[in-house]
Amino acid sequence: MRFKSDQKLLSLVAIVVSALLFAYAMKFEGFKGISTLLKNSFILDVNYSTNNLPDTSIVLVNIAFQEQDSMKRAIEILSEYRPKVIGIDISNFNEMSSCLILIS
Amino acid sequence: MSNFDFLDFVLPFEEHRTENLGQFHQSNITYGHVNFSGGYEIEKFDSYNKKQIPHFSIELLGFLDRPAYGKILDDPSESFIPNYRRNFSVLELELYEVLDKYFVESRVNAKVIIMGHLGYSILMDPSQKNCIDTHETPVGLMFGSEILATAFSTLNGNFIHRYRSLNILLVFLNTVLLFMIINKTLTWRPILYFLFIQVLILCIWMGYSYIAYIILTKFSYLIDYESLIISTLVLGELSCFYKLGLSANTHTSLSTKP
Repeated sequence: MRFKSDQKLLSLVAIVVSALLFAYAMKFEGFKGISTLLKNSFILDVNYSTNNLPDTSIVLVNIAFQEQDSMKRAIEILSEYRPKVIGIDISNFNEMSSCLILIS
Repeated sequence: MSNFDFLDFVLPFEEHRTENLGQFHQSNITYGHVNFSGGYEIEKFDSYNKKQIPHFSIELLGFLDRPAYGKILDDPSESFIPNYRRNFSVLELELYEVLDKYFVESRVNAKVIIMGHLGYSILMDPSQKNCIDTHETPVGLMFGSEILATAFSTLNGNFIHRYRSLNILLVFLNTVLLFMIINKTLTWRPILYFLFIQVLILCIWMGYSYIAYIILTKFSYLIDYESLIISTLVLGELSCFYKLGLSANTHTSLSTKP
Protein backbone atom coordinates (compact mmCIF):
# COMPACT_ATOMS: atom_id res chain seq x y z
CA MET A 1 0.00 0.00 0.00
CA ARG A 2 1.55 3.29 -1.05
CA PHE A 3 0.83 6.91 -0.29
CA LYS A 4 0.26 9.39 -3.01
CA SER A 5 2.78 12.21 -3.04
CA ASP A 6 0.15 14.84 -2.20
CA GLN A 7 -0.93 12.80 0.86
CA LYS A 8 2.69 12.53 2.00
CA LEU A 9 3.10 16.26 1.59
CA LEU A 10 -0.16 16.94 3.43
CA SER A 11 0.88 14.71 6.34
CA LEU A 12 4.27 16.39 6.53
CA VAL A 13 2.73 19.86 6.51
CA ALA A 14 0.21 18.79 9.18
CA ILE A 15 3.02 17.47 11.41
CA VAL A 16 5.10 20.61 11.05
CA VAL A 17 2.12 22.90 11.63
CA SER A 18 1.05 20.87 14.69
CA ALA A 19 4.56 21.00 16.13
CA LEU A 20 4.75 24.77 15.60
CA LEU A 21 1.29 25.30 17.10
CA PHE A 22 2.22 23.13 20.08
CA ALA A 23 5.47 25.04 20.65
CA TYR A 24 3.68 28.39 20.28
CA ALA A 25 0.81 27.38 22.59
CA MET A 26 3.24 26.45 25.35
CA LYS A 27 4.28 30.11 25.56
CA PHE A 28 0.83 31.26 26.66
CA GLU A 29 0.08 31.75 30.34
CA GLY A 30 -2.88 29.38 30.16
CA PHE A 31 -0.65 26.52 29.01
CA LYS A 32 2.03 27.07 31.66
CA GLY A 33 0.65 24.14 33.62
CA ILE A 34 1.07 21.77 30.68
CA SER A 35 4.54 23.03 29.82
CA THR A 36 5.56 22.61 33.48
CA LEU A 37 4.18 19.08 33.48
CA LEU A 38 6.37 18.30 30.49
CA LYS A 39 9.56 19.40 32.22
CA ASN A 40 11.86 17.68 34.67
CA SER A 41 11.20 20.52 37.09
CA PHE A 42 7.74 19.07 37.71
CA ILE A 43 9.23 15.92 39.26
CA LEU A 44 11.77 17.98 41.20
CA ASP A 45 9.00 20.24 42.55
CA VAL A 46 7.04 17.24 43.77
CA ASN A 47 10.20 15.91 45.42
CA TYR A 48 10.96 19.25 47.10
CA SER A 49 7.42 19.57 48.41
CA THR A 50 7.81 16.30 50.32
CA ASN A 51 11.35 17.02 51.49
CA ASN A 52 10.60 18.62 54.84
CA LEU A 53 13.18 17.22 57.24
CA PRO A 54 15.93 19.70 58.10
CA ASP A 55 19.59 18.86 57.69
CA THR A 56 20.68 18.78 61.34
CA SER A 57 24.37 18.88 60.49
CA ILE A 58 24.11 22.52 59.39
CA VAL A 59 23.59 25.53 61.64
CA LEU A 60 22.73 28.91 60.17
CA VAL A 61 23.82 32.02 62.01
CA ASN A 62 22.11 35.27 61.14
CA ILE A 63 24.68 38.05 60.96
CA ALA A 64 22.12 40.43 59.43
CA PHE A 65 23.66 43.91 59.17
CA GLN A 66 25.95 43.67 62.17
CA GLU A 67 29.36 45.26 62.03
CA GLN A 68 32.34 43.13 61.23
CA ASP A 69 33.74 43.51 64.76
CA SER A 70 30.68 41.67 66.07
CA MET A 71 31.14 39.09 63.38
CA LYS A 72 34.76 38.60 64.36
CA ARG A 73 33.77 38.09 68.01
CA ALA A 74 31.09 35.63 66.96
CA ILE A 75 33.61 33.63 64.93
CA GLU A 76 35.92 33.49 67.93
CA ILE A 77 33.12 32.32 70.22
CA LEU A 78 31.84 29.73 67.76
CA SER A 79 35.33 28.37 67.13
CA GLU A 80 35.64 27.62 70.87
CA TYR A 81 32.89 25.04 70.44
CA ARG A 82 34.89 23.30 67.73
CA PRO A 83 32.52 23.21 64.76
CA LYS A 84 33.64 21.23 61.74
CA VAL A 85 33.82 24.30 59.55
CA ILE A 86 32.57 27.88 59.49
CA GLY A 87 31.46 29.44 56.23
CA ILE A 88 30.72 33.14 55.98
CA ASP A 89 28.53 34.64 53.32
CA ILE A 90 29.24 38.34 53.32
CA SER A 91 27.81 38.99 49.91
CA ASN A 92 24.95 40.99 51.42
CA PHE A 93 27.23 43.89 52.30
CA ASN A 94 27.41 45.01 48.70
CA GLU A 95 26.67 43.79 45.23
CA MET A 96 29.77 41.66 44.85
CA SER A 97 29.31 37.95 45.23
CA SER A 98 31.77 36.29 47.48
CA CYS A 99 32.34 34.64 50.76
CA LEU A 100 35.16 33.40 52.91
CA ILE A 101 35.50 30.05 54.54
CA LEU A 102 37.30 29.25 57.74
CA ILE A 103 38.02 25.88 59.24
CA SER A 104 38.56 24.82 62.79
CA MET B 1 42.74 30.78 67.32
CA SER B 2 45.83 28.83 66.41
CA ASN B 3 43.75 25.86 65.44
CA PHE B 4 42.48 27.65 62.33
CA ASP B 5 43.78 26.40 59.05
CA PHE B 6 43.26 28.35 55.84
CA LEU B 7 43.75 27.62 52.20
CA ASP B 8 45.60 30.11 50.07
CA PHE B 9 43.16 31.43 47.55
CA VAL B 10 42.41 35.12 47.82
CA LEU B 11 40.72 37.35 45.34
CA PRO B 12 42.16 40.88 45.16
CA PHE B 13 38.81 42.63 45.17
CA GLU B 14 37.87 41.02 48.46
CA GLU B 15 40.69 42.41 50.55
CA HIS B 16 38.93 45.62 51.52
CA ARG B 17 35.94 43.64 52.71
CA THR B 18 37.83 41.35 55.02
CA GLU B 19 40.47 43.69 56.45
CA ASN B 20 38.30 44.46 59.49
CA LEU B 21 38.34 40.82 60.41
CA GLY B 22 41.78 41.44 61.88
CA GLN B 23 43.71 38.29 62.51
CA PHE B 24 41.59 36.33 60.03
CA HIS B 25 42.75 38.63 57.31
CA GLN B 26 46.36 37.91 58.20
CA SER B 27 45.85 34.31 57.23
CA ASN B 28 45.12 32.88 53.86
CA ILE B 29 41.44 32.73 53.07
CA THR B 30 39.47 30.50 50.77
CA TYR B 31 36.79 32.01 48.58
CA GLY B 32 33.96 30.44 46.67
CA HIS B 33 31.44 32.06 44.40
CA VAL B 34 27.85 32.39 45.62
CA ASN B 35 26.22 33.50 42.40
CA PHE B 36 22.70 32.23 42.00
CA SER B 37 20.51 33.01 39.05
CA GLY B 38 17.55 31.07 40.40
CA GLY B 39 15.96 27.93 39.09
CA TYR B 40 16.92 24.34 39.33
CA GLU B 41 20.68 24.29 38.87
CA ILE B 42 23.74 25.81 40.51
CA GLU B 43 26.85 26.51 38.45
CA LYS B 44 29.86 24.67 39.84
CA PHE B 45 32.30 27.36 38.74
CA ASP B 46 32.34 31.05 38.06
CA SER B 47 35.20 32.91 36.42
CA TYR B 48 37.00 35.96 37.71
CA ASN B 49 40.15 37.31 36.08
CA LYS B 50 40.35 34.13 33.97
CA LYS B 51 40.31 32.03 37.14
CA GLN B 52 37.72 29.37 37.68
CA ILE B 53 36.29 29.81 41.17
CA PRO B 54 34.38 26.86 42.64
CA HIS B 55 31.05 27.36 44.32
CA PHE B 56 30.96 28.18 48.05
CA SER B 57 29.39 24.80 48.86
CA ILE B 58 32.10 22.94 46.95
CA GLU B 59 34.86 24.79 48.81
CA LEU B 60 33.07 24.10 52.08
CA LEU B 61 32.95 20.41 51.24
CA GLY B 62 36.67 20.54 50.46
CA PHE B 63 37.39 21.10 54.15
CA LEU B 64 35.36 18.10 55.24
CA ASP B 65 35.66 15.46 52.56
CA ARG B 66 38.62 15.69 50.19
CA PRO B 67 37.74 12.58 48.09
CA ALA B 68 34.17 13.86 47.53
CA TYR B 69 35.58 17.31 46.73
CA GLY B 70 37.93 15.85 44.12
CA LYS B 71 35.15 13.78 42.66
CA ILE B 72 32.91 16.82 42.19
CA LEU B 73 35.71 18.85 40.62
CA ASP B 74 36.55 16.00 38.24
CA ASP B 75 32.94 15.54 37.19
CA PRO B 76 32.48 16.96 33.67
CA SER B 77 29.03 18.46 34.31
CA GLU B 78 29.01 22.24 34.74
CA SER B 79 26.22 22.41 37.30
CA PHE B 80 24.38 20.40 39.91
CA ILE B 81 20.78 20.26 41.10
CA PRO B 82 20.28 21.59 44.63
CA ASN B 83 18.16 19.27 46.73
CA TYR B 84 15.95 21.91 48.31
CA ARG B 85 14.32 21.36 51.65
CA ARG B 86 11.98 23.76 53.34
CA ASN B 87 13.00 23.78 56.98
CA PHE B 88 16.53 25.08 57.18
CA SER B 89 15.51 27.90 59.50
CA VAL B 90 14.81 25.36 62.26
CA LEU B 91 18.52 25.38 63.04
CA GLU B 92 19.11 29.08 63.12
CA LEU B 93 21.00 31.24 65.61
CA GLU B 94 20.87 35.00 65.85
CA LEU B 95 24.17 36.83 66.22
CA TYR B 96 23.23 38.19 69.66
CA GLU B 97 22.63 34.60 70.83
CA VAL B 98 26.16 33.73 69.78
CA LEU B 99 27.69 36.86 71.32
CA ASP B 100 25.86 36.21 74.63
CA LYS B 101 26.66 32.49 74.38
CA TYR B 102 22.98 31.87 74.64
CA PHE B 103 22.93 28.43 73.02
CA VAL B 104 23.57 24.83 73.94
CA GLU B 105 27.04 23.55 73.04
CA SER B 106 25.65 20.52 71.20
CA ARG B 107 23.97 22.83 68.72
CA VAL B 108 27.33 24.01 67.43
CA ASN B 109 29.84 21.31 68.29
CA ALA B 110 30.96 19.27 65.26
CA LYS B 111 28.43 21.06 63.04
CA VAL B 112 28.83 22.97 59.80
CA ILE B 113 28.17 26.64 60.48
CA ILE B 114 27.12 29.05 57.77
CA MET B 115 26.99 32.71 58.74
CA GLY B 116 25.05 35.07 56.54
CA HIS B 117 22.11 37.41 56.19
CA LEU B 118 18.84 35.72 57.19
CA GLY B 119 16.57 38.71 57.60
CA TYR B 120 16.63 41.57 60.03
CA SER B 121 17.73 41.10 63.64
CA ILE B 122 15.64 42.45 66.52
CA LEU B 123 17.69 45.64 66.49
CA MET B 124 17.07 46.42 62.86
CA ASP B 125 14.21 47.89 60.89
CA PRO B 126 11.53 45.19 60.41
CA SER B 127 10.56 46.64 57.04
CA GLN B 128 13.85 45.37 55.64
CA LYS B 129 12.89 41.75 56.13
CA ASN B 130 12.86 39.58 53.04
CA CYS B 131 14.06 42.29 50.70
CA ILE B 132 17.84 41.83 50.70
CA ASP B 133 19.69 38.79 49.41
CA THR B 134 16.50 36.85 48.76
CA HIS B 135 16.07 34.70 45.69
CA GLU B 136 13.23 32.87 44.04
CA THR B 137 13.60 29.09 44.30
CA PRO B 138 11.30 26.13 43.60
CA VAL B 139 10.27 26.17 47.28
CA GLY B 140 9.68 29.91 47.42
CA LEU B 141 11.82 32.88 48.41
CA MET B 142 15.02 31.90 50.20
CA PHE B 143 17.90 33.88 51.61
CA GLY B 144 21.24 33.47 49.87
CA SER B 145 22.71 31.75 52.92
CA GLU B 146 19.87 29.24 52.97
CA ILE B 147 20.55 28.43 49.33
CA LEU B 148 24.24 27.96 50.15
CA ALA B 149 23.26 25.64 53.00
CA THR B 150 21.00 23.74 50.61
CA ALA B 151 23.79 23.43 48.07
CA PHE B 152 26.22 22.17 50.70
CA SER B 153 23.67 19.71 52.08
CA THR B 154 23.15 18.42 48.53
CA LEU B 155 26.84 17.80 48.00
CA ASN B 156 27.23 16.33 51.47
CA GLY B 157 25.14 13.20 51.04
CA ASN B 158 21.95 14.35 49.32
CA PHE B 159 23.22 14.52 45.76
CA ILE B 160 20.80 14.17 42.85
CA HIS B 161 22.44 12.06 40.16
CA ARG B 162 21.79 12.52 36.50
CA TYR B 163 23.14 10.35 33.68
CA ARG B 164 22.49 11.79 30.27
CA SER B 165 23.71 8.64 28.47
CA LEU B 166 21.08 6.63 30.40
CA ASN B 167 18.41 9.00 29.10
CA ILE B 168 19.36 8.25 25.49
CA LEU B 169 18.97 4.53 26.23
CA LEU B 170 15.59 5.11 27.88
CA VAL B 171 14.33 7.14 24.92
CA PHE B 172 15.49 4.35 22.58
CA LEU B 173 13.74 1.66 24.67
CA ASN B 174 10.62 3.80 24.85
CA THR B 175 10.63 4.20 21.05
CA VAL B 176 11.03 0.43 20.54
CA LEU B 177 8.15 -0.27 22.94
CA LEU B 178 5.92 2.25 21.16
CA PHE B 179 6.77 0.80 17.75
CA MET B 180 5.76 -2.65 18.99
CA ILE B 181 2.41 -1.35 20.30
CA ILE B 182 1.77 0.69 17.12
CA ASN B 183 2.61 -2.30 14.95
CA LYS B 184 0.01 -4.42 16.76
CA THR B 185 -2.74 -1.80 16.65
CA LEU B 186 -2.22 -0.15 13.27
CA THR B 187 -4.87 -2.36 11.65
CA TRP B 188 -7.60 -1.00 13.95
CA ARG B 189 -10.26 1.38 12.69
CA PRO B 190 -8.86 4.94 12.38
CA ILE B 191 -11.06 6.59 15.02
CA LEU B 192 -10.43 3.73 17.48
CA TYR B 193 -6.72 3.85 16.76
CA PHE B 194 -6.61 7.62 17.23
CA LEU B 195 -8.39 7.42 20.60
CA PHE B 196 -6.19 4.52 21.70
CA ILE B 197 -3.01 6.45 20.93
CA GLN B 198 -4.21 9.51 22.85
CA VAL B 199 -5.07 7.37 25.89
CA LEU B 200 -1.75 5.54 25.55
CA ILE B 201 0.18 8.85 25.50
CA LEU B 202 -1.70 9.98 28.60
CA CYS B 203 -1.04 6.67 30.40
CA ILE B 204 2.65 6.72 29.44
CA TRP B 205 2.91 10.34 30.59
CA MET B 206 1.39 9.54 33.99
CA GLY B 207 3.28 6.26 34.29
CA TYR B 208 6.66 7.84 33.55
CA SER B 209 5.90 10.70 35.95
CA TYR B 210 5.22 8.24 38.74
CA ILE B 211 8.24 6.04 37.95
CA ALA B 212 10.51 9.11 37.68
CA TYR B 213 9.22 10.38 41.03
CA ILE B 214 9.81 7.02 42.76
CA ILE B 215 13.33 6.71 41.29
CA LEU B 216 14.14 10.28 42.36
CA THR B 217 12.86 9.92 45.92
CA LYS B 218 14.17 6.40 46.57
CA PHE B 219 17.43 6.39 44.64
CA SER B 220 18.16 10.09 44.05
CA TYR B 221 18.40 9.61 40.27
CA LEU B 222 16.76 12.12 37.96
CA ILE B 223 15.42 10.59 34.76
CA ASP B 224 15.16 12.97 31.85
CA TYR B 225 11.40 12.83 31.94
CA GLU B 226 11.08 15.68 29.44
CA SER B 227 12.73 13.89 26.52
CA LEU B 228 10.77 10.70 27.19
CA ILE B 229 7.43 12.51 27.11
CA ILE B 230 8.30 14.54 24.02
CA SER B 231 9.52 11.45 22.15
CA THR B 232 6.29 9.62 23.10
CA LEU B 233 4.15 12.56 21.98
CA VAL B 234 5.94 12.97 18.67
CA LEU B 235 5.94 9.26 17.84
CA GLY B 236 2.32 8.76 18.90
CA GLU B 237 1.02 11.70 16.90
CA LEU B 238 3.16 10.78 13.90
CA SER B 239 1.63 7.32 13.89
CA CYS B 240 -1.83 8.96 13.92
CA PHE B 241 -0.94 10.99 10.83
CA TYR B 242 0.42 7.85 9.23
CA LYS B 243 -2.81 6.02 9.99
CA LEU B 244 -4.79 8.95 8.62
CA GLY B 245 -2.82 8.85 5.39
CA LEU B 246 -3.13 5.07 5.25
CA SER B 247 -6.91 5.11 5.62
CA ALA B 248 -7.25 7.95 3.11
CA ASN B 249 -5.18 5.95 0.64
CA THR B 250 -7.33 2.84 1.19
CA HIS B 251 -10.47 4.89 0.79
CA THR B 252 -9.18 6.43 -2.44
CA SER B 253 -8.18 3.02 -3.78
CA LEU B 254 -11.60 1.56 -2.99
CA SER B 255 -13.50 4.50 -4.42
CA THR B 256 -11.58 4.40 -7.70
CA LYS B 257 -12.28 0.70 -8.21
CA PRO B 258 -14.62 0.02 -11.12
